[in-house]
Amino acid sequence: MSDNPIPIRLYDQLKREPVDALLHTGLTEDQIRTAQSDWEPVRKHAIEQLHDQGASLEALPKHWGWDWTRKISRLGSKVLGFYGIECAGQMQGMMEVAKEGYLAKLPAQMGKPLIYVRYIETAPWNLKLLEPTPHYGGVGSRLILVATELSLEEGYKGRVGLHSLPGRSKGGPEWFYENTCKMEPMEAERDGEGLLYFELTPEKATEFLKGGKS
Amino acid sequence: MNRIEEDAWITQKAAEEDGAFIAAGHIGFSAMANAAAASTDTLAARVSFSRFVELARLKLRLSKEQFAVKARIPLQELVCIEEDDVFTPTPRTVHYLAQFLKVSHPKLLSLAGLAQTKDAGFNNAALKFAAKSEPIRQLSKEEQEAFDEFVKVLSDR
Repeated sequence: MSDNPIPIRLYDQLKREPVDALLHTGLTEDQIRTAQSDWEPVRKHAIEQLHDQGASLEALPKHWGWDWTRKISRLGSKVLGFYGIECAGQMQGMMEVAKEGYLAKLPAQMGKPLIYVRYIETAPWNLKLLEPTPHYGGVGSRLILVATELSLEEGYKGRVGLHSLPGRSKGGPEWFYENTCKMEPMEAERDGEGLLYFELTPEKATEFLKGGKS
Repeated sequence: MNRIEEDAWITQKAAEEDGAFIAAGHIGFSAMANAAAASTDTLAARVSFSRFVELARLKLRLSKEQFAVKARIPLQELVCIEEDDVFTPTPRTVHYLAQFLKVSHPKLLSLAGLAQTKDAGFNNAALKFAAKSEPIRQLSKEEQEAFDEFVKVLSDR
């Protein structure tokens, strides 16, 4: 399946200016395979370097075995959506969401439908942890914006949920969802792997979409 | 959002993100490479890792539950390691397995597919081990009982 990519903007960290990018609203098998083969060696090499430099196992990113090609069998599902942001001919971030089957857990939103982000990852060269001079900025925020807009389209009022990989300190995944995306953490809703649950409320979704200083 | 607003939004979010590590999803149920894409060396290593852990456990005469507790690793992950050749364990689990089994951590990482080695001798040894360690044996009394019990559950309508 070939989608009609939507022109969007990303921030080029090297040029220090916004640049053109493409949002793919339905990834193809080829796009996923290409992204996986582009990302995996870079991700693995960078994590091995971190390990060699003495980073403790706890401090190493936990996603180093992720394989997006294992999701190919789910392409075409009516309840799942696959999104990717392409810039300079390479995928800069990908996301898999569930459009049905997940309900809000925050007390004020309890039981209401939401968009659940099953997987989200940005290319390893966009992470300061793995690349001292990240190439593109705003990739993760732009993908969460996609999930939020999808939630509005589906009538879910901007509600979005996800389980974050660990990392509460500045620059970690949990820090990102709470501070940049305005999502609320729920300790009581950790999953079987101990991953912390985050949820975006309609009010916070409006704030996130609007931008502006925190 | 018009172009100016979009540029302002992405510029601000890029500054806020500041190269943050962005990831959500499951940690443990993601293989490094699927069977179709992986090289034969990689697959052989993965089979070796799976067999190695299983045989180490059998040699210690521990059940999966007992082994997981003693090695301080999640039982669910141990089951996946032993029974799914394309499963990638977490670095933490490999670390604890190396400690518990008193083997080289880097070599075990390599065997698990979490690091690469250019040591051809080691790769050959892993391949030979994978080839020789295919479990061909009679079911033990416990395995037979567990099997029979499970067959009963499967037979329930």
